[in-house]
Amino acid sequence: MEINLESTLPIRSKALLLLLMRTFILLFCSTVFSFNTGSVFSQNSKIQILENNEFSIDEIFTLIKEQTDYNFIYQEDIFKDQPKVALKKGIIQAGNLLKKSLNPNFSFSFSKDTRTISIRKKTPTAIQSQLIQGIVTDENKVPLLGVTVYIKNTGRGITTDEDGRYKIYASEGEIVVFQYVGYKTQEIEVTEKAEMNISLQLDLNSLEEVTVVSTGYQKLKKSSATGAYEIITARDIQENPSINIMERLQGIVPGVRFDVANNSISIRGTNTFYGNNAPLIVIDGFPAIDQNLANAPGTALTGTSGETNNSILSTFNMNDIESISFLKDAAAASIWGSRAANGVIVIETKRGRKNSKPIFNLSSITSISAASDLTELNAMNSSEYIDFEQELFDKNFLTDPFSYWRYQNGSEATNTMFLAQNGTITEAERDARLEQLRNQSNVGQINEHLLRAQVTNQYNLSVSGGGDRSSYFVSGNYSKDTPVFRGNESEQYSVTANVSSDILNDRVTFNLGVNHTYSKRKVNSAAIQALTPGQFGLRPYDLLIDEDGNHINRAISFTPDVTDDYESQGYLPWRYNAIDDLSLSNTGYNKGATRVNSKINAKLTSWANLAVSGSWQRGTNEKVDYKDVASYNVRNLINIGTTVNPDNGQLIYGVPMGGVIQLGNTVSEDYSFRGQLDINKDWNDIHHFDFIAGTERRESKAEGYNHTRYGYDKDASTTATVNPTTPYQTIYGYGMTLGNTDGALFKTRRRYLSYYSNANYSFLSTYTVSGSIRYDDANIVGVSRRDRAIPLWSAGAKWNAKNENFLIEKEWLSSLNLRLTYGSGGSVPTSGSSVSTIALGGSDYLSGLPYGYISSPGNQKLGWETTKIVNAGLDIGFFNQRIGLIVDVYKKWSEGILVSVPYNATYGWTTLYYNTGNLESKGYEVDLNVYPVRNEDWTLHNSFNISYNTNEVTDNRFPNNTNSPNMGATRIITGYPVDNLFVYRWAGLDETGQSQIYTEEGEIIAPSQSAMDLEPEDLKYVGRTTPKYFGGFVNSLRYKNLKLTTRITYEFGHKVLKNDIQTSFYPTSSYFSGFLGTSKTLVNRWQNPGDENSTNVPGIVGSSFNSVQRYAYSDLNVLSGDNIRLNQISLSYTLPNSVVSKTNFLRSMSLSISANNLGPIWVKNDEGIDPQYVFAGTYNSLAPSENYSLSVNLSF
Amino acid sequence: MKKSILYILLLVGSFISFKCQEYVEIDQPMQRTLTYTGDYQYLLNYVSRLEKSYFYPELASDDIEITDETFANNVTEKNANVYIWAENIYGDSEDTDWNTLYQQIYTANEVINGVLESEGGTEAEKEEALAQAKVHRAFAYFSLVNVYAKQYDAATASTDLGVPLLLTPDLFVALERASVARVYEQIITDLEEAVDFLPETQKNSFLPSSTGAIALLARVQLQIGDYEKALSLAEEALSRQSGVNNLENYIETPTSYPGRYEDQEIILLKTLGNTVLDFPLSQELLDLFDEKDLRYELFTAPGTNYPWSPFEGRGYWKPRLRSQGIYIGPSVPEMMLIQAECLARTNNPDEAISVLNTLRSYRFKAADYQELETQANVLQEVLDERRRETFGTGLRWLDLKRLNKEPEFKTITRTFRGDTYTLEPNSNAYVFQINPIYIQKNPEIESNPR
Repeated sequence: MEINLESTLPIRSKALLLLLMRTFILLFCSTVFSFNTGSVFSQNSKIQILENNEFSIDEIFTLIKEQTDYNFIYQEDIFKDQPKVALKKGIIQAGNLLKKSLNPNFSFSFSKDTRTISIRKKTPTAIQSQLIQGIVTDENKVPLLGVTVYIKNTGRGITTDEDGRYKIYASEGEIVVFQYVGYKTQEIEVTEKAEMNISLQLDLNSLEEVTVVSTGYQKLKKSSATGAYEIITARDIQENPSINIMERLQGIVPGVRFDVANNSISIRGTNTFYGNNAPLIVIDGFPAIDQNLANAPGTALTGTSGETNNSILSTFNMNDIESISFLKDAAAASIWGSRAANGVIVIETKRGRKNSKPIFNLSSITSISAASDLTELNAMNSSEYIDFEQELFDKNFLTDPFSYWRYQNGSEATNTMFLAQNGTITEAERDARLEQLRNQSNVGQINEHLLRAQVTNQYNLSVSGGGDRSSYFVSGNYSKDTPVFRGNESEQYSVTANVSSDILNDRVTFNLGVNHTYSKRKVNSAAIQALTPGQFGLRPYDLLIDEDGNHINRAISFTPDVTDDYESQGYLPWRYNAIDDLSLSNTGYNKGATRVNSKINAKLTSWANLAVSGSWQRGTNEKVDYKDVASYNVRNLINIGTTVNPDNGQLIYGVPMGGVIQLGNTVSEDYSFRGQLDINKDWNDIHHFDFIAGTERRESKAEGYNHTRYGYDKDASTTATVNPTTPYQTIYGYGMTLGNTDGALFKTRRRYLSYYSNANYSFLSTYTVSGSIRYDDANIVGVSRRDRAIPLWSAGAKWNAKNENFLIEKEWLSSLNLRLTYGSGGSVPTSGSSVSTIALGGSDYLSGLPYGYISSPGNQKLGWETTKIVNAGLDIGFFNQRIGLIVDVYKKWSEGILVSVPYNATYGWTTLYYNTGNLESKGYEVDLNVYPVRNEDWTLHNSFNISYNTNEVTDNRFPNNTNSPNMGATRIITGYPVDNLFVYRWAGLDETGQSQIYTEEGEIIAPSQSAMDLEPEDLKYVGRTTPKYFGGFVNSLRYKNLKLTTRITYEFGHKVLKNDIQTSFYPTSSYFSGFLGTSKTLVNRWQNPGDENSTNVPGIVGSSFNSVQRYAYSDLNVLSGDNIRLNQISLSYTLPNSVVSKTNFLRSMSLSISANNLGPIWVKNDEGIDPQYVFAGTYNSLAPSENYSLSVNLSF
Repeated sequence: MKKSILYILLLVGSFISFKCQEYVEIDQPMQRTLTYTGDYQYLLNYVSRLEKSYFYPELASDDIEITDETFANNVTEKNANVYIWAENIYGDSEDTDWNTLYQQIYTANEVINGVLESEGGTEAEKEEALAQAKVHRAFAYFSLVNVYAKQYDAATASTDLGVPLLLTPDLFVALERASVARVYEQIITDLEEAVDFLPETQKNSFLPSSTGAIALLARVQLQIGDYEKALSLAEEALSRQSGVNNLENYIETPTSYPGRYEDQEIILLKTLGNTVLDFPLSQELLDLFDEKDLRYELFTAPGTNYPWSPFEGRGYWKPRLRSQGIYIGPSVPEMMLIQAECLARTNNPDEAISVLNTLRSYRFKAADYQELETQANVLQEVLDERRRETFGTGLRWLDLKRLNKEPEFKTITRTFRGDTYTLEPNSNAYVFQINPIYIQKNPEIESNPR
C-alpha cells in the first residue's frame, strides 16, 4: 500500500466521487460512506514525515501521538494483520493520515474533551443496525414536533412527527443526537435498548432556527426545501408586543414590506401594472376568507363602503398562531397556482400535543398612546388664518352671505368683516371682535372634548394538552381598542378549538379546527371632521364651548339671522356642534367570521397517507349606520324638505320626522374540498422522497344589500314608509326625491378546480431536487377552457454543501446551502373576456326596468398574465451558527400583463383590456444574524436584513406621451418603473405671484399657458414612490432572564411629494366660496409684488388651477423618502426556573414593557418631514404618537 | 376495516375529481355571456346609458348668453371652449358627447348582431328587441351626424363627410367616415324597419314604440328638408299621441309637474348629456316670451336661484322642478311644431296658425290666453314658437344649422372674458371637431376643416 502525500486524493477521482454520489451507485457503498463522513478529526493537526518509509499502524499512531496531544484507544491486537503503509517524506494532515492508513474495516471516533481517538474494528454484525424508537418531549412532557434526531458522524437523521415520535436505525455504540430549536441538545449512546424516550431542557440561550416549513399543502423539512421561504414563529410574534400584527412583523421579514400606514403587504414588489399586489393568505391549509392580516373598520368584505375610526384590529388572533411562512419564489409558492403570483403567506394555528397534561396560558397586553400632537398639523394659528381671510375679503374673493338669504354662512371672521362693510357694526366693533378671535385658539378644547389617549387591551387564555390518542388546543381572546377620536370604539372576541384524534387503531387521524371571531366597531366622524377642512371643519379660532361651559352651536347652511328665522318658524334647530354629534351619528360595523376545517388522514402504509380535508368559512359584515333625528345631518335633511303652508303657516314635512338608519349586510361563504396523497419515504436514510398529489375544488360566494329607512324612531323601533321617487318641495323651491341610495343587491360566486403535485427528492440530505406542477380552472365567464386553465410549474435544486466530505470537518463552517429555483406563476384574465359578457344591474329606480350592461366587450385576444421567477439563494453559517447569513437574488419577468389600454371611444369603449404589458423586476434580500456574545448569562444578538427591489416596464408600447404629472395615479411608461414619479420643473413665481415652470430647454412656461404648450419631456422624472431598499435592524441583549430589544426599520431610495397645500381648498379664481386650507405654508403666500423673490407659494389673486397644480406637483415639493425609524424598544423579564419551580402551579411567567412608534431617528430631507406620514391636510395623516405597552404572559 | 376506510376515502377523493369541468362551467350570478333574449332586453332597458345624448351643442347655441363676468370666470375650460366655438375643445381628454353616443351604438349593435339567435324568447320578442335597438342606433347617429358633420344638403350630401358608421360590435374595423347621405340613409332605414315590429305604446316612453320611431323619423325628415314627409309623419304621430300638459295646473305647486314617465307630452324619452343646464339664457330668447307665458314663469328662474353658482339673468328651471333630466326626444309639442312649420312652408298659413293656437292654449292661464292671428310671416311665428317650446334641449343647434341654408338667417355674436366671437351662418365652426385623440388612434378618420 502506498500513499502519495502531495496529492491526498487525485482531483479526477474526487470529481468522480462527486459524480458517483449523484447516482444510485453509492447506495451500495454504505460502509465506505460511513467511514468517509465519520471523522471530525481536527484538520489543523499536521504530521511531519521525515523520510520515505513503511510504517505499521501502531507506528503511525505513535507519530500522531508525538506530534499532537492526542491519545488512541484501541484493542491491542486489532491491527495485527494489517499491512504496513508506505509514507513519503512531507507533511500530511492527521485526519487524512488516519483515513489513508486504516482500511474500511475500522472506524474511529474523536472526543474533543478528552482529546482521545478511539478505534474499533467493524464486525459484520455491527454494520447491521437496530431500530431505535421513542418520543421526544419537553420538560413538561409535551411532545415536540420536528426535533432533529440523527446519528452522530453519519449524516443519517430524521425529525419527529406531531406526536414527538421518531424511529431510526443505529448500531450499538453510535451516538444519537436530539436537537431542537430553543432546547439544549442531547447526545445518547445507543445501547441494546430499543426504546429511548427523551425530554429536552429549555435553553434560554438558544438560536432561532426553524426546521419545518409549511406550504399549506405539506410540511417540508427546511433542510430539503429548495424554495425561498421565511418563517416567523410564535416566539418571534410574541417578542414584539403590539396590537396590530402588521406592526409585529414589520422589518423582520426580508423581502416582505408591511406598509402599516396603508395596511398593505407586498412580497418582492409588484408583478402587474395597476392590479393587486397582495399575497395570498392561507390559514391552516386553506385560503382565508378575509385576505387581510389586519382590518380597519369599514373595510368591508365586499360591496359596502366604510369609514375609518383609526383603530386597526388583527384579523387572526395572534396568540393562536404557531407559525407564519412566507413563500417568496416560484418553487415555494407555485403549488398555489394561479393565486400565488404575488407570493403566499401561510399561517398555521397552534395544536395540542399528545400525552401532555393540560397547559394553561394566560396573557394580556395593555397599551396606551397619547393623542397626536395637534401642533404637528402644521396649521395656521388664528391670527394667521384671519390675515388670510382678510386678504380674500379685501381682494373681493368672498360673496357677502348677508346679501341673499340662500347664501351659505361665512366664517365668524369674514361675517364680522361683511357686517362692518354693510354698516351693521362699526369698524371699531369689527376690530375688537377680530382682535378677540385672533387671540383665541381651539386647540385646548379639541384636545379635551374630541380627543383622548388611545387605550388598547387584549386578553388571551388558552389551554392545550392531550391523551394517548388525542390532543386539543382551545383559546379565547378579547381585545378592545378606544382610539384617539372620541365616539369611536372597537372590540373583538375570538375563540379557537383545534382537536385531533387517532381512531381505528391509530390508522386514521381526525383533525378538527373551529374558529369564530366577532368584532364590533363604532365609527363616529364628528371628531375627524372637526379637524378636516370642510363644512364641519373648525377654523383655528372656532371654539366648541363658551366661557360658561355651554356648547357653541354654529350655523352652517345659512347665516345666523336666516337660521334664527327658520328656527322661529318651527324648523328643527339648524346649527352644529361636534361634541353633540359624537353620540348622535354612529356607524356600527359588526363582523363575524367562522372557520371550520377538518381533515381525515389514513395511513396506507408507513410511508403513504391519503387524506381528505375540507374547510368551510363564513363571514358576515353588518353595517348599521344610525343617524339620530337630533344629529345635524338628519336635521339638515328634514329642514331642507320642510316648507310652510302659506294658508295656515303650518309646516309641511317632505322627509319623515325621525332618524335615518341604513342597514347593510354582506355574507360571504367559502368552502373547499381536497383529496391528497402524501408519500414520505426514506430508503436507508440515503434517499428521501416527499411527494404529494391532489385535487381540490373550492367555491366562494358573497351576497349583500343595503337598505335605508327614514323616520326611524329608536325607542319604538318603527320607521316611516317612503316612496323614494315621490318628490317633495324644498325650501329652495325645487323638488327633490329621497332617491335610491341603496344600490342593487349584489351577488358573486367563484368556483375553482385544481390538480396539483409536488415532489422533493433528497439524496444523503445533501442534494435535493424539487418540482411542482399545478393546473387551475375557474368559472370565468367568457373565457374558453383553453385560455382559462394553464399549467403552472416550478423546479428547484439545493446543495447542502456542508455535508460534503471536504467541508464536514471544517468546524468554523456550520452550514452552507446553495439553492436555485425557476418557475412560472400566472393569473387568469379576470378583467376581460373573449366574448361579450352582460352584467345585471338591478332595476332602474324611476322606470323599474331590470337592466344590464356589457361589462366587457368580446376580445378574442385575451390570455393569461404570467410571471417567471428565477431565484438563487445561499445560506451560510459560521462558528456554530454564531454568524448566519442568508442571501437570495431573484429576477422576475412578467409577461402579458393585462392592461386596460386607452381605446378609440368610437368603438364604444374608451378602454380595452389587452395582454400587453411586460415588466421586469429584480432584487435581492440579505439576512444576517450575528451573536457576538453567547453564554450562560449573556447573549447579544444582532439581526440585520435588507431587501432591494426594482422594476422596469420593458415593452415599448407605453411611450411617454403625457404632459402632466402623475398626481397619485399609476402611469405606465416604457423604461421606467411602475411607481414612477414625474413632476414639473419649478421656475419660481412671476411678478403677479403665479407659478412658472421650465421646459426641458429651460424656457419658462407662464401660468396662463395651457398644458398643451408642454411636451412630455418637459416633466422631470424624480424617482420611485416605493422604497428601493427596506429592512430592519433588530438588536437584543439578554442578561440572564432580562432581555432588551430594539427594533429599527428603514426605507431608502424613494421620493415623496410634500403635500403642503390642499389644492382643492386653494382659491383658484376671483370668486371663492367654501372652505380654506389651513396649511401653515399659506402664511408665506405671495401677497405683494416683490414677494416672488422670497417665496414660492402662489398668491391668491389671479390664481388659477394651473398655477396651484404646478406648484403642488413641482420638483420644489419632492422630498427624499429615506428614513430610519426606531419602531420599538422593549424590555422583557422571564421568571427564572428556580423561582418558577418553587411554585406548585406555575410553568413560566414573563413580563415585558415596550415603547412603539418612536418615530424617525433620521430623515434625509432638510425639513425634517417624516416621509412615511406626509401631511395631507387632515389629522388622519399624522404619524401615530408614541405608544407604550405592558404585556404579561403566564403559563401554568 | 382498514380496507373499508381506504375505499371510503377513495370514494370521496373520486367525488372531488368527478365532473370536473362542469364544476367550473357555471355562470356567475349577475354576470354571464349574452345568451337569452332577456339578456338583450336588459341591455335595452339600461335607461341611464341609452337615454343620454349630446350636451355641447346646447351650450354653443344662441339659447345661452353669458354676460355675468364673475360667472364667466368660473366656467370650466371645456365649456368655455364650446361657448366660444373654439377649434380644440377637449385638450387631451375624451369628448363625452362622442363617447356617450358611440357607446350606445356599440350596445345597439350587440343587440342587432345577436338577438335573433338568442335563446328563450319568442320570435316577436326578438324582433321587438331588434327594432328597439335600431331606434336607439338611429337616434345616436342622427345626433352624431348633426354635431360632427355639415348640415344635410341634397346637392353635396353624398360627398360631405359624415361620421364613422359602425353597424356591428366589432372592435377592430377601420373607422373611415361615411358620407352624410349614407348616415342619413342608415338612420331612415333603421327607423322604417323598426316601425313594424314595435307596439304602438310601450310600458314607458323610454322604450321605443312605433309612435316614437315615427316621431323621430318626422324630426329626421324635417332636418333634411323633406317637408311633405315630415308633415305626414308628424300627423301620424299626433294621431297616436296628442296629450299636452296644461301649465296652468302646475303654477301653484310647480313640483307637481309630471315626472318623466307621467309626462304625456314625451313620445320617446331621450335626455341631454347634462341633467341640468345651469347657464344664463340669452336675452334674445327671453324677449320672445310674453309676460304671461307660463313657460316663462314655470320653466325659467332668476340666476340667484342657483346659489352654488349664481348669475345675472334667468336660467332654465324646468329640469330642476323634478330633477329627472332634460328631455330632448320627440314630443307632442315638437310634432305639432313640425306640423305647423311644414304647413307654413307648404303654403297653409291658416292651418299652421291653428296648430300653434292649439298648443298655445295650454301655455297660458285660460284668463290670459289670446289667439294668434294669421299674419304675414307665419313661418317666423312658427319658428319663434319652436324656440319658446324647445329651448334648453339642444334642438336649437340643429335648427340653426338647417335654417342657415335660408338666406336671411342670422349671425351670432358673443362677448366672453373680454373678447368678442362671431359665428357666421354655414361657418365651419358649426361643425364640431372630432377629438384629435380619436384621429391619432385611427388616422383613417378625417378631421373637419376649419
